[in-house]
Amino acid sequence: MKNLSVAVVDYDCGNLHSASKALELAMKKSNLSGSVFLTKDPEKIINSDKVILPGVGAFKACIEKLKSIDGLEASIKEFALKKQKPILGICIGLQLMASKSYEGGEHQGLSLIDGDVVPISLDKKNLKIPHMGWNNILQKKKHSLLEGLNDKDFYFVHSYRFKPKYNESVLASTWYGEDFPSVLSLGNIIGTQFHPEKSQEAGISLLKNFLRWSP
Amino acid sequence: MLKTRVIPCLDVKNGRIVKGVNFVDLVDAGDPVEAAKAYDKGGADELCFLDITASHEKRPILLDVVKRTAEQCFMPLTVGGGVASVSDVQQLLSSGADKVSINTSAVKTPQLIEEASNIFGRQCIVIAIDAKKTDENLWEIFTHGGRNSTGISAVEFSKKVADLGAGEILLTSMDRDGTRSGYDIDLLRAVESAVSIPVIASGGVGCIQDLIDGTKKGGASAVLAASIFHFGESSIRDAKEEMARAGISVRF
Repeated sequence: MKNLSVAVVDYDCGNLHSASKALELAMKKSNLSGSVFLTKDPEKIINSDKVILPGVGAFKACIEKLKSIDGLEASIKEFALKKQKPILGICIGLQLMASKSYEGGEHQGLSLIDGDVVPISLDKKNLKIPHMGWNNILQKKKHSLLEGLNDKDFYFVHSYRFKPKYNESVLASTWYGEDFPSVLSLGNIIGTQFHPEKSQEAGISLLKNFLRWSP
Repeated sequence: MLKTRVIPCLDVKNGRIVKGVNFVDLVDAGDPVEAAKAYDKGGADELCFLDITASHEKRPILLDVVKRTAEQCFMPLTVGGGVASVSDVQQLLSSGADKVSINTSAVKTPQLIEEASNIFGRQCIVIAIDAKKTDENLWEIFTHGGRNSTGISAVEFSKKVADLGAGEILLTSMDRDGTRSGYDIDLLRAVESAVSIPVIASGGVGCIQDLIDGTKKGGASAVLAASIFHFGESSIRDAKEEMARAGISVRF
């Protein structure tokens, strides 16, 4: 069997090691052979089999860092749009895939999934922001990424959320004062608002599904 | 629905757990990495590491422990103790901490909160507040492990840190800490209702009912405890089962 190469995009935004550790464990548990590596090299990203776009922090800081690395944005777009290979965005990584974010001003995203990043309904008085902790996902569409994971709890930490242009891109949603999309996809492009790498067994299962997935 | 988090806390000194952890299968009960692994398996929702030595000479030990723990556990890890600058926060995050807890320095230099949350995002900045009741409906903040009184009201300070960019408050009642007589519910309620960020209850847990009271009466988003879990009196699972029976939404 072919060796799977999994690139974790390294753009100095948060705890990237936990994502690669979790992917290594998922690979081991899936009996797949291959390698998981952190990289900001556009060539390596384009030539890998799967890409993870992780990240924590504020949208503006993250998109600026990503765009400041030569060729990085173009390589992610080529991988996702031209080569149409599987890419997974995690938390701010998912939000970066949007057209636009309204966190701390108005910022352009990568426009991989049509939609905007907006605040979690601030009008709800009793709601603690950030939405922090374990919450369950409700599957809206059948998808191999979510196999065996309907209603499982995952670890969330965010104050903004993805508002897709088209409802078809919502794979699962989560309740926090309102029903918001927690897993989104468009063909080979997929994103989770929660952190699978911090979600113990359920998270590792989702990463296993992603590694096995061929859209 | 968002679940109430159950968080075991490890007090670490010179790289070793101080209060002791009493699990059956542990090879080395004083090793925080072993304890973290056991809690990861046991279904803890997060783990909190407090370096109570907290001096800069000891920092490399803590960083090494954080690194080794992060490799073993797949749940969020909060680390605190002696965090005084943006570069301290940076070092802990790049060693694998998901959140960094700031205590004394948050009182001395509140602008650190703003600075750190602008750089790393508010989700990873936890402000640890140690409060003692000094008057009717007044809880005063103490720093340096409870030795120095500040004259600052815990409730007012909580509002201030939330405005400055804290993502969460770890609220310890010094009156209750170590007494096993339950959380200070009045303090919890006073702080919880004053801020819109999550509050973690800490200090005084002697039994599972205390965790239930912290959530239902105190309004805490998360409940933290050390001894009842470390000494094997209650497992995380026991705690969650009792909490669920009391109508609290928890993760299994």
